[in-house]
Amino acid sequence: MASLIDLSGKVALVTGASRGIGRACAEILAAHGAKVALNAVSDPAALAKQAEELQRRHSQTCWALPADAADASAVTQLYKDLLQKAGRLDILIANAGIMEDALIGMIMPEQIQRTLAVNIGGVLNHIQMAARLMKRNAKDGGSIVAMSSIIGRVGNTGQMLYGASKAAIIGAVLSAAKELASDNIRVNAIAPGFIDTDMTAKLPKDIREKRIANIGMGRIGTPEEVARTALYLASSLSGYVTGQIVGVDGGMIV
Amino acid sequence: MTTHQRLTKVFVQSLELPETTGVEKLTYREHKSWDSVGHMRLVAALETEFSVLLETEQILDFSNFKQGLEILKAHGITD
Repeated sequence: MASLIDLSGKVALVTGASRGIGRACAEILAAHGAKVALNAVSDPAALAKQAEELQRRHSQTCWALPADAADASAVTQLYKDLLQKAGRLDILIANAGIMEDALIGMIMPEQIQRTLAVNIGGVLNHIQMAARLMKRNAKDGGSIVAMSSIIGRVGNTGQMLYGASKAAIIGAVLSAAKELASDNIRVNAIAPGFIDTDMTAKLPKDIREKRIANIGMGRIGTPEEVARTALYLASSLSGYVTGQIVGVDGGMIV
Repeated sequence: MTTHQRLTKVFVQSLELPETTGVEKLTYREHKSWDSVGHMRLVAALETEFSVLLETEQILDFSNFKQGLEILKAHGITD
């Protein structure tokens, strides 16, 4: 049976694409026919190699566009480069983010600044630029998917800062969805639960087990499971879906 | 077509103005068609016509026709 999803001719940009959920999103978009631009801030050489391998595996043109999502000028330059290389943008997966847990009273001002700059500032920078390119697509518009978190919806001990940054993404997505709907640009967010990534691998074994015990499905999620939801939101299968926050959490209770 | 003529066409088409409109005399927010929504439409049309991507500061500074020409000049577009 032919795939229901065909992204041939579409150009996607994935931020935080070097690992975890972002890497899985890049992989699944390329596998379904999209040309993919990979963005990450660290190790440009590794990102370039990843883009080459992705291109070889899926016979799709892929580019490496390193930039810090928190740096508005760098993001603008990224979109200039993207426009030059790809000529258009149809899909943005705004996934780049950082997580630094700290109890209330122990959060350093620098942590606040950096976390908000990357997690919400980065998403705002990217949505601003992506929307401008997508408006050029006329009726084809585009799809923006931002990566929030279950913590942004329900909160958690030790995650006031991270939770605030991820809740802010939900506010941004709801407003952007309303503002961009008339341009056929859909804006949605994914709120992953406990996903098996480098970010969560750092957790002590006892905390990890405790979190898994709170998941209805009794297991940790995979980056690929989040990526499949991103694929759905990026594709025409969700053509009438905008302003939604989709939980991918296996029935987790925090 | 000169840059001046191309920019005039961008103004007329994106702001849906009569062709006889003196676009050089228009000022942002002082004409009913050139409100904030019209402004982003104008910016998108300018960017498409001249294959450029404006900086956020340039979008905010773009308040009349002459400024538009200056911005294009900053992107290396002159006659």
